[in-house]
Amino acid sequence: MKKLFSLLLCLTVILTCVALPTNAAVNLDETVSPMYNYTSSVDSQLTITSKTATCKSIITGISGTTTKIEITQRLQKKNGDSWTNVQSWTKTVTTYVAVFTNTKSSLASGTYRTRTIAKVYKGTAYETIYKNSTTVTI
Amino acid sequence: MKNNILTDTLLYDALEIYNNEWVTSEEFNKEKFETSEKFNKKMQKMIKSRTNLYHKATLTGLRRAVCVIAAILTLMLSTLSVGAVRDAIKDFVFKAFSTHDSIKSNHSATKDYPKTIEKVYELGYVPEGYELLDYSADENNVSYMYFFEDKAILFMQSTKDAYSTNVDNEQSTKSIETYDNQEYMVYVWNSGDIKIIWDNGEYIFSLFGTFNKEEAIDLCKSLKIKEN
Repeated sequence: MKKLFSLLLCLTVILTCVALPTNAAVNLDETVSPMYNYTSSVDSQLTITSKTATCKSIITGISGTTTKIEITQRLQKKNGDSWTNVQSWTKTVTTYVAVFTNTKSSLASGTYRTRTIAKVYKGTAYETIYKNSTTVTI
Repeated sequence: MKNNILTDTLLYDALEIYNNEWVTSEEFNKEKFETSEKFNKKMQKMIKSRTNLYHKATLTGLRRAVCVIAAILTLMLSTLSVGAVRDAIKDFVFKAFSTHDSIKSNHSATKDYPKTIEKVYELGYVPEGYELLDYSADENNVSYMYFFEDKAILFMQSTKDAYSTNVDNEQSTKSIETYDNQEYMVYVWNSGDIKIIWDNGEYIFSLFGTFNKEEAIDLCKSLKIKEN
């Protein structure tokens, strides 16, 4: 009986540890907490080949809701603990899906990323979504 | 009644004391007594059980090692309760924030995967009326954007290293579904929009559009290598 009780107690402790998911993730990727009321997803990508960077931002809104997307795309280079802008581009579309691709050549050695800043509109109201790509070091 | 119980208890105690004293006294002749077959079997069973691993573990110094291992296992299982670690077991690592999921490829356990796009994929078909409005391809990403009136389809292929997306988790319902041994992460919005993300072992694919789940899964399954 004692053994059975001990075993049950152990199982309960173990199952409790597994069954209680923690949501300890901290949003370190972006600077402002986005709302995602008019946005369904944001992708940010960076490819560097032969010192030429290709920055790609893909934003999908919500059909029947999103009326406009303003994209600011920044190629950034790591400078110590901070990031400096190498080049910026902007584009506005009046659809709810946007793909924005730009290139920058003759890059110096270093670590780079694409920072996508999307202002996603529903009428005149909008939300600002930020997304950084994975980093690439050359 | 109460006196009887007390008397019985006292009697049993008295008999036990007397019996123990008698067995240890000089008057007790061991040779006069034989143990029963039933007793012998029980004794053999007891002796045998004390030699098995369970008793060795609990009754000897192995107990400490077993406790340490059990503690380590418990700690390992408790780390699996952390969202980011638990979900790395599937194809993706995702962190759930209050408004969105941040998703990256989990390729830590995979050693052999393409670092650039070596095979370009495309949808096997698109629904009637949709036209390709934007196509772009680089070493890490290929994207196709189709439009029909005000509805869009966006299909993307990415290398595992470059894949990084945020998906709204407030207004969508998320599920992980398996079809033909392929696992798909499915997000559905009330607007009728659907986003599906999957990993075929080499690349990460995503499909976004406004159709029902069955149509979306059929499109995902239609994937083929693009002919040059």
